[in-house]
Amino acid sequence: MDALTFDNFGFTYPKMPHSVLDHIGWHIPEGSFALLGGATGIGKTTLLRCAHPILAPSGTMAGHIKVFGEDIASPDQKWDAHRCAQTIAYVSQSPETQIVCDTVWHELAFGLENLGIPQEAIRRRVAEIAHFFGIESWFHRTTDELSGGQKQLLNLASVLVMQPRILVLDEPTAQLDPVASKNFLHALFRINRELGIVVVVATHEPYEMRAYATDEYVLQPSGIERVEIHRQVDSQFAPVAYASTNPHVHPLTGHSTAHPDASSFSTDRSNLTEEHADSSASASPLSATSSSKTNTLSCKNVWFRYDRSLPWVLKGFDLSIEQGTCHAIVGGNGCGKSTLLQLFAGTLKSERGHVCNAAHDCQAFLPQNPKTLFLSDTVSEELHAWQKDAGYSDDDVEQWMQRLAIQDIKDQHPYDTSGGQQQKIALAKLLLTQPSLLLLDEPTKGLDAPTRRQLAQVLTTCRNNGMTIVLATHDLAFAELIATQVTMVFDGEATATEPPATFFADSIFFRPSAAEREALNGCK
Amino acid sequence: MNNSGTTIFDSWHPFVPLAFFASVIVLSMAVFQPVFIAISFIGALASSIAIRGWKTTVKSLRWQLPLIVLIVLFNPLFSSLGSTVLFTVGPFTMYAESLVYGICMGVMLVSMLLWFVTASSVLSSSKVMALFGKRIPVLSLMMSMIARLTPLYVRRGREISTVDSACTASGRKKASVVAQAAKRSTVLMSWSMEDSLETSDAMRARGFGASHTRTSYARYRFRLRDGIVSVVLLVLVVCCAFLAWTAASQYRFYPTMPMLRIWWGYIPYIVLVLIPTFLSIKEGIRWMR
Amino acid sequence: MAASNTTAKSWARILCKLEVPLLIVVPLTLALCVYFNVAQAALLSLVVVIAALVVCAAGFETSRPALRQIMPIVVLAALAIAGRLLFAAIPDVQPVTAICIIAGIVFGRRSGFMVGALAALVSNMFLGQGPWTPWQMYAWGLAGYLGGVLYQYGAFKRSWTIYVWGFVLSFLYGFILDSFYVVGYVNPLTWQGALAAYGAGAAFNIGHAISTSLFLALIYAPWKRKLERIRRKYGEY
Repeated sequence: MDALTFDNFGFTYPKMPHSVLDHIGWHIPEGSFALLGGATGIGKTTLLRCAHPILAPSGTMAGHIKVFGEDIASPDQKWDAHRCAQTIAYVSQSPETQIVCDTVWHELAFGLENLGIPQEAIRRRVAEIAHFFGIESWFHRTTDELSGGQKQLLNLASVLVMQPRILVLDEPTAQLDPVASKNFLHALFRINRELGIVVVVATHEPYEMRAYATDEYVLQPSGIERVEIHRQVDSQFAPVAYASTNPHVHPLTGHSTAHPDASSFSTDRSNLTEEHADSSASASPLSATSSSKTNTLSCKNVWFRYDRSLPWVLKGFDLSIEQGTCHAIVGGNGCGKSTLLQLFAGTLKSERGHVCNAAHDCQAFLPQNPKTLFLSDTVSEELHAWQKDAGYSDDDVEQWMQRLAIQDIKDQHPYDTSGGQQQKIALAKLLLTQPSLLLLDEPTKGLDAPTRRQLAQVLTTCRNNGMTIVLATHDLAFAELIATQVTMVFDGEATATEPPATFFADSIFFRPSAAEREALNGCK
Repeated sequence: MNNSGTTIFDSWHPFVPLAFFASVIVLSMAVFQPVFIAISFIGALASSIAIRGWKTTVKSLRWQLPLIVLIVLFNPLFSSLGSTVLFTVGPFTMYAESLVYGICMGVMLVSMLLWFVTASSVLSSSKVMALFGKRIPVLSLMMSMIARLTPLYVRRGREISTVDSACTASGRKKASVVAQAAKRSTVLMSWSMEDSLETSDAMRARGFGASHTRTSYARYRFRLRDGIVSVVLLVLVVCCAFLAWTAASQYRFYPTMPMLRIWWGYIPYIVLVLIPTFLSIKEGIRWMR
Repeated sequence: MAASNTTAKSWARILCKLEVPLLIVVPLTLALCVYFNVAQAALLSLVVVIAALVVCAAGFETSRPALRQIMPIVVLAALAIAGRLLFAAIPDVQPVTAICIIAGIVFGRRSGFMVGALAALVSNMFLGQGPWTPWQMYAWGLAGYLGGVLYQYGAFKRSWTIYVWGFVLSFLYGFILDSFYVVGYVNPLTWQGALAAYGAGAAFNIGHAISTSLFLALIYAPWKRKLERIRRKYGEY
């Protein structure tokens, strides 16, 4: 029997002229691990939420959705919350917002308490699930002190404790760093294979998950399409790929012989710079100075820690960043990338050593979460917020909205827009102030490939106009695409600073996989 | 908010420490007689040292002692009453009785503060919720949610301030502290509120409101031993209350104070307030070997 | 199930009716303690204020609140506490009173009361519990409750009335907290003593009142607009 069946399913939001989904026929058999791909805004989330009787958005449904043969789309079939929670579970993108209680053990018990399950049974089920996920060591911790990866694992565990038969996840790893993301996927794999729970994942990064999935589907305007899973073995350890470390290799084309992806990638990169070459010459007053080699930022022997009782985050960190370059700072989780950005921005002060920032009075900072910048009730108001003080014109606002393709949503509330759109609104708000230094903290977190590519284009244009850009990121493919210099931070030091081509050529582990590159470059 | 540290009351059901601290606090508030106040203070100090350690206790005394001095001086200055004049300064006359009264008041307040901090280091929020979770499931859940959100909001509030002050290109002049705080708090508020919509989705998906009665998962069991200890504690408290009432009703500060005498009736109260200290010493001996 | 449901409902009704009398009884007790010079004033007034809080809490609990009532209270209370912690360095500046008033206005008097009471209770888990906890719960709860009541009767049609109200209410808050000390712990109570005790708190109260009305002036309009949007969104459930 199929676990989940969409039968000629369609959905229309209230007061909308057109349906979001139409003629969806999708069968997910028992025991499967199904991936659902598709462009952003095509309706993946709507489709998955419709399968959950409690979370189904309000609107009109056509056709049928069957959960283990039982139709839940018909209005007379009302599942109560009790039955729903024990059949189908839902995990969404943000690790932070799904956590309800203050301690890990209470969070695990929360769902069972809701269902009115007796004390002894709760005890047992919580124990079992904590054991399955290896939560014992942080069972008594407060939820706030967990890492992002642990939070998302906790979210998974606390829906599974109710023993559902289907697990639906919407972009579950979008907010996680690469290591936590792999860890989470492995947990999903175990749930599917060891417990036999059906797993349905909507994602715009399917290449990460292909190794675990049994089926892959793509949602398109015409309907659901099944695709063959290519379980490509990543060339991560292929000896030919990056054997040569010749420093004289041309940074953009040098790898075309070594790596099949590199050629297409390189042309992409040059396209990126040429595309906006004309626009760069025309407008900005900053462009004239771009050739001189002055340092915007420099730090020498910087030491920093958050408290006297805490370990050093930076231990003798040296770096200088030239004006008009795009400098990517990469490194593992908690290596001090974000701290470094704050030291550059001057919001943290080094304990020893000196940070010199020539653009101190004309900088902008894009935080990890764009919501940090949102104050107004519409997108257009948001973009006009700093107009009086920064002195830009209405035309500038129009122009940036067009360049970032957000003019269609200018009357919407910023919170009613998608994650990618929010990131673009925040970026537009900052770029309108014409900063000479732009600091970006994980600018591509949770974004799909087309948005990332669009971001890369905009940032490259800005750099060509003389803006200095510093970004801290886990997204190596993105760094490779836009950066002129890459610095790896490890153990409080800058271990290597090189142009991206040389940097990634010299790295054995620390480089974007072929699939990641392909995903970023393979779309328009 | 002590969630990880162990205390001497760990092996008992949280009702036992709650009953103990509640009755000690009520007794120290109600009984206004010098000897009882002194006993309570010594007990509070000893318990605080036993449970929270020397360093923390001394640290909290650092701001509590000036408080005593303030109260000690305040009372006789403004509520001058009594028969034994100590001295007169301008319009103020200092009487011995009201000075003693002030000292008692100050010592009582400080011992109450000490009992409170000691109690809250023993009764972590999860223990308190385990006690009341069954009676008030919704409110105890709400308290848990607030305790979960507060550190998150503090973190976000700092993040918003950081980003706001890092964006110097926006060319804003330095606003007043309150104006800046108001703007940043608005950002924080709408962010938090919009997030709460997602949280409530997650709660509904996990069956919130599904059942008429919410159960409450508590990790503590009320065993026979807890019952016996509670009964013993109750007897002791009633005994102390009766003796204290007898003592306090015979005692007057004004106009003259009677002499205090050695009396067996103080012994039960001494035993009561020193219970945490006894337990701690017992534990100390066990781990010395 | 049905039977327990109806008893819960009738309980909720009874408790709801008890709410107002008990909120009034608290200051009345303080006054009577002063008038009759009650020896156990501290304990008696504490018992009364705790009783009032318990009844209000029970009224809320038995009304079986829905998520759209619970979530705003939780978020606003947590915001108030976060504000209190973030501004802990400046003794008089804290947004709690302002947030309670806004909560009462936008989400009704009951929610306003719960925001104030929970904010006081949970924030003292971080800052230290003491005999003042129930009084803070009562005073901030009252701020939220009265905000809701007055808004219902259309007292805040002009915005300056809110700033004035914030000013007055901050003093009321200070008065309640000073009174519990004066009534319970100054004995015998003379007018000089009382005056000195209130005078000692006056500097703090003035700072608190000014910062509250300043806060209200700055955040009332944007918060109300944003909160009403959220209320609408919760209404769609």
